[in-house]
Amino acid sequence: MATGFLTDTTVCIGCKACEVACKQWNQLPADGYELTGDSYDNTKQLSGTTWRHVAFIENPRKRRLTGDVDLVALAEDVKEQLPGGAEIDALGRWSFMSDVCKHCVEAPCQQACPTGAIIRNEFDNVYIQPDVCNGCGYCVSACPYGVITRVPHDGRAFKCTLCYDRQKDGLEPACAKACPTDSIQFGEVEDLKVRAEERVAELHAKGYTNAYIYGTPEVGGTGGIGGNHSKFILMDEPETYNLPRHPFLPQDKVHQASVASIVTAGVLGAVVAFAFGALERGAR
Amino acid sequence: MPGLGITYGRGGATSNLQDLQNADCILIEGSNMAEAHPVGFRHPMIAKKKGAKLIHVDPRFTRTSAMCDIYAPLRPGTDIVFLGGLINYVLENERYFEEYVKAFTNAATIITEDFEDANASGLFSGWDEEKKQYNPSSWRYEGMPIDYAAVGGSQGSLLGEAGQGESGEMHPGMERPRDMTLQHERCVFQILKRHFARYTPEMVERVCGTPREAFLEVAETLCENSGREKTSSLCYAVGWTQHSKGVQVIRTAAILWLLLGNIGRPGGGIMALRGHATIQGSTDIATLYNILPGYLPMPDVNKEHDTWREYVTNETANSGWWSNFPKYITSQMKAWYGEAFDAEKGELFDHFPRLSGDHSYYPTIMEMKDGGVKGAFIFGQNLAVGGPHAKLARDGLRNLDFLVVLDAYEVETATTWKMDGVKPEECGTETFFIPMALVAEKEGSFTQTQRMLQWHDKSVEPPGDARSDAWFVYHLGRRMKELYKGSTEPRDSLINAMTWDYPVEGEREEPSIESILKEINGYTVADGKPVGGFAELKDDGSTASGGWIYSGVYANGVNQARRRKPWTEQSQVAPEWGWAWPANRRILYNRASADPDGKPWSERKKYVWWDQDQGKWVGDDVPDFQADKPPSYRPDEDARGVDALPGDGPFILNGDGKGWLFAPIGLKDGPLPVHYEPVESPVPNLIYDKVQHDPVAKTFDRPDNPYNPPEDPRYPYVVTTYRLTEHHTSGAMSRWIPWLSELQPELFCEISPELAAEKGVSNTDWVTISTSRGKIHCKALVSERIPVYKFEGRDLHTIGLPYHWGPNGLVKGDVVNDLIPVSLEPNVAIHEAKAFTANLEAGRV
Amino acid sequence: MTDVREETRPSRNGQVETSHHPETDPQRKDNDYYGIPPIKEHTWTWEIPLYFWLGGIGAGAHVVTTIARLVGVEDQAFLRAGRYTTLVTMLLSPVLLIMDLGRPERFYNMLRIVKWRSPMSMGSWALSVFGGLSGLVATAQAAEDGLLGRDNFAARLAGAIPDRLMSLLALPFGYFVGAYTGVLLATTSVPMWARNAVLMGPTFLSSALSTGLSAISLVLHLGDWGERRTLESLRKAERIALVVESSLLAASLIRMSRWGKPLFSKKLGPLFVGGTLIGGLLAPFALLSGRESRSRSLLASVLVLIGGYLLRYTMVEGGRLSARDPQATFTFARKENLPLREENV
Ligand SMILES: Nc1nc2c(c(=O)[nH]1)N[C@H]1C(S)=C(S)[C@@H](COP(=O)(O)OP(=O)(O)OC[C@H]3O[C@@H](n4cnc5c(=O)[nH]c(N)nc54)[C@H](O)[C@@H]3O)O[C@H]1N2
Ligand SMILES: Nc1nc2c(c(=O)[nH]1)N[C@H]1C(S)=C(S)[C@@H](COP(=O)(O)OP(=O)(O)OC[C@H]3O[C@@H](n4cnc5c(=O)[nH]c(N)nc54)[C@H](O)[C@@H]3O)O[C@H]1N2
Ligand code: SF4
Ligand code: SF4
Ligand code: SF4
Ligand code: SF4
Ligand code: SF4
Ligand SMILES: [Mo]
Repeated sequence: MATGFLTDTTVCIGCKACEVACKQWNQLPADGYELTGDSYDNTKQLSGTTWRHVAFIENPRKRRLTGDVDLVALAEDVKEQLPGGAEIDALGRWSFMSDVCKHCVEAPCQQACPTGAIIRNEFDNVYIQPDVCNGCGYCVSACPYGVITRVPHDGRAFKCTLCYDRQKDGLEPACAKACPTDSIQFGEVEDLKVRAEERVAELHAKGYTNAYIYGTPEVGGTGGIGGNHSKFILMDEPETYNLPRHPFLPQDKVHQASVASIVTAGVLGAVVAFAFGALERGAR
Repeated sequence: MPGLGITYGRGGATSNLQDLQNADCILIEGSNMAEAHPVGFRHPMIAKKKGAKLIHVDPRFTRTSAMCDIYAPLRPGTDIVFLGGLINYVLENERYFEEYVKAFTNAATIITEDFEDANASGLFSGWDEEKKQYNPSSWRYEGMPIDYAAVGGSQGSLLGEAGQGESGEMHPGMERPRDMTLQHERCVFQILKRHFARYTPEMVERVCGTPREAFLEVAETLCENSGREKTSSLCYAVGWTQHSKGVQVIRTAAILWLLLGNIGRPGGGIMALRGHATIQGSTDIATLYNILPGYLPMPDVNKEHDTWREYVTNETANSGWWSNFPKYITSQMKAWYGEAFDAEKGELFDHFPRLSGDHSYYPTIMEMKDGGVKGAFIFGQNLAVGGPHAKLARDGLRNLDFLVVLDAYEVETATTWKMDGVKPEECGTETFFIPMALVAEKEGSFTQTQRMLQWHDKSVEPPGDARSDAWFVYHLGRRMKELYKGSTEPRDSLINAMTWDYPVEGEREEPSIESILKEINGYTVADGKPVGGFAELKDDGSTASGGWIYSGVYANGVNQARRRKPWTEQSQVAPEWGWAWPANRRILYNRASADPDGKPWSERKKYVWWDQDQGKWVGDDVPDFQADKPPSYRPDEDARGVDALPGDGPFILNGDGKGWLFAPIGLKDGPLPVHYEPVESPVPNLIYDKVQHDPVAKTFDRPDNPYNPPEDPRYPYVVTTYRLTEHHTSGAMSRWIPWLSELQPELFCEISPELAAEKGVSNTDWVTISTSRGKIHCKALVSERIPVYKFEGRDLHTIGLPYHWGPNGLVKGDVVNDLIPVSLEPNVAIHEAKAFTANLEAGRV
Repeated sequence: MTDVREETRPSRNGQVETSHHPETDPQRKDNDYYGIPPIKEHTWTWEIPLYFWLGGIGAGAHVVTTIARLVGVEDQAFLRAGRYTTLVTMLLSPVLLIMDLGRPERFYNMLRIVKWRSPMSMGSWALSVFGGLSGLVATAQAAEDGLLGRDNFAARLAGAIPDRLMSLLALPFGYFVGAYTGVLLATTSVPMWARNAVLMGPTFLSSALSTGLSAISLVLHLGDWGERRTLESLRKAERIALVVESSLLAASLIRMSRWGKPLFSKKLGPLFVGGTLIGGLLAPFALLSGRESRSRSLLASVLVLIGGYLLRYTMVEGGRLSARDPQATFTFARKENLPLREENV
C-alpha cells in the first residue's frame, strides 16, 4: 500500500495551518524573521527546516468598469451579460499553494543517497533515516524540486517524513489534520488519483477549464520520475508555483555517462601507451 | 449586538456555522472570515462545493475574497449605503418574500403620525438639540402608549441579548393597527420604502465607490437565492461593529434578511462571528459593567431601583419573554447569597452596587488618566496595544497606584512603566505580573460564535507558578472573606453573605470548574439537585441559578457542554455536540421555518413544523417557541407573558412576536438606519448633507483625544485596521511563538500601487503614517489587492493596517492603535477602528 | 536573465534573499516565483573542488605509470614520482571528503551499501579500493627505495608485494576515481551539469590524466630526475592529453549551450576562460609544442595543474549559480531535455 497527498490548491485559503502544524509536530525551528514583501509569503520555500510551505501568488487582473473605478471585482465565473453591458473578464486571483516533498515514485534523492539513509518505508513514502544520514549533501542536488537542504546547525539533511511516526500510530499527517478546508487530503495513492480526476472534472464542468493534476505521470509532466505520491490540483502553469514542468530522474543518465567515460578511458590509455613509445618498443 | 437584538429580540448569532452548508448563497461583509475564522470557513467552502454562491464585500481583496464567486469592494464606513441599496433594490423590484414579510414582521404595523423620517433633515423626529439625543416617543406604533421605564437610562445592556427594556414593551393583547395590504402610507412597509428610496445603485456607486455592476450582481444573486425554495446566509464581524454607527449597519442587514425571508430558516442565518474563543460567553456570563449574567439589567441609581421590589417590578415586562425576569433575578441572588438572601424582602439588595454612570472601557481609561481610579486588575487583556488610542490607555495605566496584570506572557500592558520613553523611577505605578495558565492547562468551557458551550479538559499542568484565573479569583475571594469575617458593617454584608464554597482539587487547590457550571445552570435550593432548564426557575427563592440562559447545561447532573458525539452519528443539526443556549436551540426563531399555518415553506427548507396529530412543534432542532402553542393561537385581551404572543409570532422576545423592520424604541440613533460618514472622513456625507456623522456617536473632546476634522487636507487617506490569520489581536498569543512570528514577522501597511507611485514608495520601503493622535513607522506592502476608490471624480486612497504588533515579543512593530481616536458607537460604545483618516509619508520621519 | 540572481546571497537554511512584488519589481515579470530558485544549490564547500582535483591527479598519475610500465618503461625515477604522487593525493582525498560531511563521524556509512546508480556510493568504494591498492604499490616502492630500512621484516614483507599485479588491479579503479567526479555532478538536477551528462565524466577524466602527467613531469623536472626518453614521452603525452581535453571541453560547452552561462558569468568567467581555457590548456600546449627547456616544462606543468584545479572549481561553482537561476531550471526541465526512457517518449 502506498500513501500520499492530494493538495487541492483550488480550496486552499492560505491559512498556513499546515505549515505551523508541521513545524510543531516535528519540532522544527523558525527560519528567522524577515518581511519579504512577496505577498504574504515570508518563509519563501521548502527547506530542511520548513517541510510544508504555502506559496502566495497574486495575480489580480485590473479592469475598467463604468463609474471608472479601477479594481479587481466580480465573479470568476460570471459569463452572462451584465446590467449596463459591462465587460467582465476573469476575476484576478490570489492563489495559495501548500507545497511539500513530492514523494517521487522514482525518487532522485533516494537513488542518489550513498549511505542508504533515504529509503522507501512500508507506506512507500520516501523517508530519510536520521540515524544513518551523514550529511554528504548529495540528495540536495539530486532533488528536482528543491525540497531538501542540509540543516546547518545539525549537519544532516531533512525533509517531510510524511509523518511516518503518526502513520505508524494510525494517525493522518499533522498538516492534513490541521487543514480546515481539506485542501490537503491524505490517503492511498490510488484513491487520491481517482479523487483528483473527479475533482478536476468537476472544476472543468464549473468552467474552471485551466484546472489540472500535477503528479500523475499520465497527466502532469512528472513522467520522468514516474509521478509523485504527493499530487496537486493546479490552476496555473507549474512554474507559477515554482514547480518544474518536466522533472526528470538524474540517475537515468548514469548509464550513458559511464559508457562515455569508459570509452574515454580507453582512448586516454592508448594516448599514454602511444606517447611512451608502445610502437617502437613493441617493434623490438 | 443590539442591531440583531432590537430586530429579532436576541443579540446572538441566529444560526450556527455548520448550517452555512445549507445556504444557497452566503454574503460575507464586514468580516474577513477566511482569515479570522479559518476553521469556521470550512462550512462556506462546503456550501460552495455544493453549488452555493459566495460573496465578499470588503474594502480590500483578502484571502476571503479570493475564495468567493463575487467580490465587491467598498470604501470603509459606507455599508449602510450598500445594504440600504440592496433593501431599495428588493423593495423596488418586489423581490421580498411577501408571505413571510406580512406574517412575521411588523411591515403592516402603522406608526403614529408624529413620526418624521430623516430624509429631509438627516434627523428623525424627536431630536433634542441641547441634549443631543432623541426622544423616541414619536417613533411608536399607532395607538401604543410607550413605556419609558423600558427605554431606560443608559441602555447599556444592549450588548448581546436585548434587555427587556429594549425588547419594546407593548401592552399585550391589544390588537395593533395594521394594514395587511401594506398600502397604508404610514405602515412600516411604506415608510421603509420611502426611507430607502434614495439608496439607488448610482448612489451606492458614488458613496461606496462600488462599481454599479458589482453591486447589481450582488443584489441579483441574493434575490435569486432567497425566498420559499432558497435561503441565503450572512456573516459579519467587527468590520461592521467597529464603526460609530455599527449597530445601525447590523440593523440594515437584519432588515434586509427579514425582507428576504431568511431568518429562522436553514441556511438563512445571520452569523455574528465572534472574536475570542469565548467572547460570547464573556457577554453571556457578563464581564460587562452594565449587565448581570444572562443579560439581566444592572441596578442603576438613575432608575427606580431603590429597593428589591422596585427593581423587580420596574424591570419586569408584561408580555413576551421578559415577563420571567423575577424568576431569573431571584434565582441569581439565591445563587450568590444563598440563605442570606430573602426572596421576598431582599434586604441584601440595598447594599448591592448600582450603576452611577458610564463605566465602560474608555471612560474608565480616561478616569485612570485623570486620577479617578486607584488600581486595576487586568485579566487577559493587552489594552496597551489592543485598545484604540493605546497611548491614552498606557498613560492611564501609568497613573494608577497599583496594577495587577494576569497574563501568560509579559505583555505590553505589564510593561507600560518602561514604555514610551518613560523613566521607570518616574512611574509611580506598583505593577504586579501574575503568570496565568493557558487554555490547555486548565478545564473549562468556551461559548463560541454560535452560542454553543464546548468543554475543554486540562491536558497539562501549568508551568511554574502559573494558575488558572479561577484559582486566582477563588482564593482572592476566600482570603477576602477571611478578612471581613465578623465585620458587622452593613456595607460588608454582601461579602459576608456571598456563597464561596466551591470544592478544590489537587495539591494546587484549583477550584472545581464543574461545580461553578452547576451553580450557573441552577439547582433547587432544598436538595441542591440541578434544574433541567430555565423553565424550572422560580421567583420564590426555591431555586438558584447564576445565569438563567445557561440553565440546562448541567441538566440531570450531566455536563452537557462536554458532549462530543460526532456529527456523523447524528442529524446534521448535531444537537448532541456541546450545548447551546437557549435550551440547546441551534437555529433561533426557527418557528419561522414554517409558514403562518405551521407548514414548512418548502420541502427543501424543512426544519421545524407543527405536527397536528402530536399537537406540537417538531423537527431536528429544539423549537424556539412554546412547544405546544398551535399556529392558530391568538392571545386574548388580558393574556400575560408569553401567552400574550400569537401562534404566528416567531420572535418571542419581541413584545409583538414580530421581527422589527422598524424599531419603535430601543436605539439611541433612530428607528431606521441612516448613512452617516465616519467621525473622521475625508469626504462629505452625500446622502444627508446636513449631518456629517452619527449625531449621537460618543465623542470626547479632550486635548489628548483630538479628532481629524472631516475633509481635512492634512489627513487625506482612509485607514482601516484588521487582523491577519498568522497573529492574534494584540499579538500577545502569537508574537511570542516562533512558528507564528516567522509567518508575519513585522508590522506593515497595505497600499495600492497607485498610492505607492504617488508617494515614491516601493515594496517593503519604510513609510510613516500619522494622525492628530500620533504616528507610526512601518514597511509598505504594495498590492493591487488594495483598490483605489473614485469619489466625485477624485482618487480616494485607503491604507490597510493589521494591528498585531508592539514593542515586546519575538517580532516587534509600532502600536497601530496609537493612531486611533476614541469615538464610540452610541448604543454599545465600540470604538471606530475600521474607518478613520491619516496621512502617509515616505520614509521614517 | 538579469544578473540580480548572481548577487542573491544564500542565508539561513538554504533560504535566499528574494525579489519583491510583481508590481514594484521588474524581475517579477519572469514567470517564476519571486525569483526563488525552484531547486537547491549544493552544500559543498572548498574541500570538494580541491578533492576533485587531487583525486584526479592521483588517478592520472597511476594510469600513466601503470600503462607506461606495461609498454616497458622501467625508468625508476619516473615510476617513483608517479607512485608517490598517487600516494600523497590518496592520503589527502579521504580527509577532504570527510571534512566536508555534515556528520564527519559517520563517514563509514558511505560503505554501508553498494548502489550502482549512485556515483557517490560507487565513488566512495572505488576511492577506498584504489587508495588501498595504490597504497600497497607505494609501500613496495618505499621498500625498494630502502625507506623502510634494509632487510628487516617490514621491508621484506613490503618487498614481497607483487607491485606490478597490484598496480594493474588498481588501474580500473584509478580510471573510475578520475571519471566519477564528473558523472557525480552530471547525475543531479542542476541544469548546467545535467545538460552535459555524457561529457562530464570524460572531461574530468581527461583533465585527471593531464594533471597527473603534469604532476609527474613537475616532480621530475624539479629534481632533475628521470631519463631524457621518459621526459620526452611525458611531454608528448601531455600535449596529446591537452588536445583531447580541449576538444572534450569544447564539445561540453557546445552541449551546455545556454545552460553553461554561469561559466562565463562575472564571478567565474575570468577564472574559467583565463585560468582554464587559456592558462590551463592553450598556454601550456604552446609551451610544450615549442623549443624544449626545463623552465618551459616546469611552467607548463604548473599551468596545467592550476588550470585543472580551476576547471573543477568553476564547474562546481557554476553548478551553484545554475541552481540559483530559476529560468535555467524551468527552461531545462522540459520534455525535450528528458533522458530517453520508454515511459515518457
Ligand atoms: N487569526 C486571527 N483570527 C481572529 C482574530 C485574530 O486576531 N487573528 N481575532 C478574533 C477576534 S477578537 C475578532 S473580533 C474576530 C474579527 O473578525 P473580522 O471582523 O473578520 O476581522 P477584521 O480583520 O478585524 O475585519 C474584517 C474585515 O473588515 C474589513 N473592513 C474594514 N472596514 C470595513 C467596512 O467599513 N466595511 C466592511 N464591509 N468591511 C470593512 C477589513 O478590510 C477586514 O478584511 O476575529 C477573531 N479571529
Ligand atoms: N485597531 C484595532 N484595534 C482593535 C481591533 C481592531 O480590529 N482594530 N479589534 C478589537 C477587538 S475585536 C478585540 S477582541 C481586542 C482584543 O484586544 P485584547 O483582548 O487586549 O488583545 P488580546 O491579545 O486578545 O489579549 C488577550 C490576552 O489574554 C491573554 N490570555 C490568553 N489566555 C488567557 C487565560 O486563560 N487567562 C488569562 N489571564 N490571560 C489569558 C493573552 O496572553 C493576551 O495577552 O482588540 C480590539 N482592538
Ligand atoms: S521531491 Fe525531492 S525529496 Fe521528495 S522524494 Fe522527490 S526527490 Fe526526494
Ligand atoms: S545527506 Fe544524508 S540523506 Fe542526503 S544523500 Fe547524503 S546521506 Fe543521504
Ligand atoms: S506529512 Fe508531516 S512531515 Fe510531511 S509536511 Fe505534513 S506534517 Fe510535515
Ligand atoms: S492548511 Fe490547508 S487551507 Fe490552510 S494553507 Fe494549508 S493547505 Fe491551505
Ligand atoms: S483559532 Fe481557534 S477559534 Fe479561531 S479559527 Fe482557529 S480553531 Fe477556530
Ligand atoms: Mo474581538
